[in-house]
Amino acid sequence: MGNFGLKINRFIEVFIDKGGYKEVLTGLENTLKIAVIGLIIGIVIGTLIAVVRVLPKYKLLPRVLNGICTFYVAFFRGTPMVVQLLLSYYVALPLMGINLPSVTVATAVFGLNSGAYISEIMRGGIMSVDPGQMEGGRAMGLPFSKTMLSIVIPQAVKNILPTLGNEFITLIKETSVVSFVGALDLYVAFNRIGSNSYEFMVPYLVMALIYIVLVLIISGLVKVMERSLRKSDRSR
Amino acid sequence: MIEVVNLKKSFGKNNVLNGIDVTIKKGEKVVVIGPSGSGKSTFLRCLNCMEDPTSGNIFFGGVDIADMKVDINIHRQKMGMVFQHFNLFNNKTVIENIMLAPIYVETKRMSKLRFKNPNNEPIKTKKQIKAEAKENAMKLLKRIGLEEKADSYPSQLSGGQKQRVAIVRALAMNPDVILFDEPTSALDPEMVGEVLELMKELANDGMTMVVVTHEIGFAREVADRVLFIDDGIIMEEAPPKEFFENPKCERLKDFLSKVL
Repeated sequence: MGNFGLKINRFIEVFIDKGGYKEVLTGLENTLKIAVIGLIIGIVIGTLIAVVRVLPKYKLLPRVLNGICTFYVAFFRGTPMVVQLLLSYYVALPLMGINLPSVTVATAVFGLNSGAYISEIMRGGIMSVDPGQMEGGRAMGLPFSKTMLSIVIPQAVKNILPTLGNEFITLIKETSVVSFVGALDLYVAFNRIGSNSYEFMVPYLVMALIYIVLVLIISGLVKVMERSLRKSDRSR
Repeated sequence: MIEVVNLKKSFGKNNVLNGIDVTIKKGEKVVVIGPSGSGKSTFLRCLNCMEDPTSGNIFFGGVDIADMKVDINIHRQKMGMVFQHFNLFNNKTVIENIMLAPIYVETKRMSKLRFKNPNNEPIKTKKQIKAEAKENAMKLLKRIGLEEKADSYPSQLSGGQKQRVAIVRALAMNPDVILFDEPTSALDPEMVGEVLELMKELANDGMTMVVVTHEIGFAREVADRVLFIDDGIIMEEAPPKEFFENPKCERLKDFLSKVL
C-alpha cells in the first residue's frame, strides 16, 4: 500500500490546487441531471405504456398500441444500456443529421431505457389496486382516463414507491457508462484526477464514497415520501 | 325510465343472462332476488353497462345505452351505483370522495359553455365549482350524521359508515336512479340496519331504486315490485305481498322455503 499519506497529498494537490474539484462538480451535476431527468422521462413513458397494457382490448387502437409497447419494452430491456447509448449517439442521430451534446443524448437514452423497466413496475402497481376502485369511478360516469389519473395511479405509485427508489438508485450508478459517448460524469472526473496525479487509489475511494452518500440521500427521500403517501392508510 | 328488451349476456361460453325484459318506471322501487349464480348481479351491472350486454337493448331516458357508440359516461352520471364492497376511493378523504365526480362534471360543462353558451349562463370559476360541491357534500354528510368524518380516509370508517358515504356519494350526482348491488352483504350484522334505514329514507323521498339484495324484510317493506331471477331469466315478478305469500313458480317456492 505504501505511503498513503503521500497519496492523499497528491490527491489534494490535484483536487484543490489544480482545480480538479471543478470537474468533479460538473461531473456530479451531469450524473444527477442524467439520473433525475432520466427518471422523470422514464416515469412518464412507463406510466403511459403501463396504462396501454391494462387497457381493455376489444377495439383495434388499443391492440395496435399494445403491440408497439410490447416491442418497445422488448428492445430496451433486451439490449444493454451501453449499446443503446452507442447506437443513438454514433448511429441513429448522425444518420438523421442531428448533433446533440452527449449529456442530452445520455439523458434521453436513460429516460427511454428506464421507461421500459418502469412500465412493468407500474403495470404491477396498477394491477395491485383493487379493480373496485376503477369500477367506483366509472360507475359515476368518470371516463377511464380521469379515473386512472386521479384514483388508480396515485394508489399504484404508493405501492411501487420502494421499487421506484431502487430504479433511481440503479440509474444513478449506471450513469458511469456515459463516458462511452464522451460525457463528463462523476466517474470521468475522478478518472481524470487519477491520470493527472498518476495515482488512482484515493480518487476512486472518494468516488465510491460520493456514490454511497448519493444513494443514502435518495433512500432517505424515498422513505419520507412513503410516509407522506401512507397517510390514507389505516393507522397501525 | 329504464326499459330492458331481451337482454342477454354471456362470458365466453357461459350464458349468464338469457333474455331479460323489464320496465322500471320513475319512482319505482324494484328489488331483485335470486339464488347465487342466478345472474342477478350481472343483470344489475348490465343496467349501467359496467358489463357490456352481449345483445339486447337498454333504453334509459329514451337512448339505447347498450349501443357501444353511445357515450356511456353521460348516462352513468344519472345512474348512481352502490357496490357490495363500497368502492370508496382509498386515496381520497370522505369529502373528496363525494366531491370528485360533481366537480369533474361541472368543470367539463363550464369549459363547454365557454365555446357555446346559448342561454348566456354565467360561467363559474374553478373555485366557485369547488365551493358549491363542498357545500353540497357537507349537506349530504350532515344528513347521514358523518360531518365530523369529512376529512377522514375511508380506511378509518366502519363498514356501515363506508356504505352510507358511498350512498351519498351516488346522491351527490343527483341521479335519476340508483342501482344497489347487494349493499349490505359485506357488512357486520349490527351495521346492516343503519344502511337499510338510509335506503328506506331515499325510497320515501321518491328515488327510483333497483336493489339486488338478500334482505327479504327490506323487500317486503320497501319494494313496489320484486323480481325473482334464476337461470338468467325473470322467473317471477309481483308486488311483495303476492310475491312472498303466494309464489307461483316452483323454483321460487323452493327458494323462499330456504331463505324465509
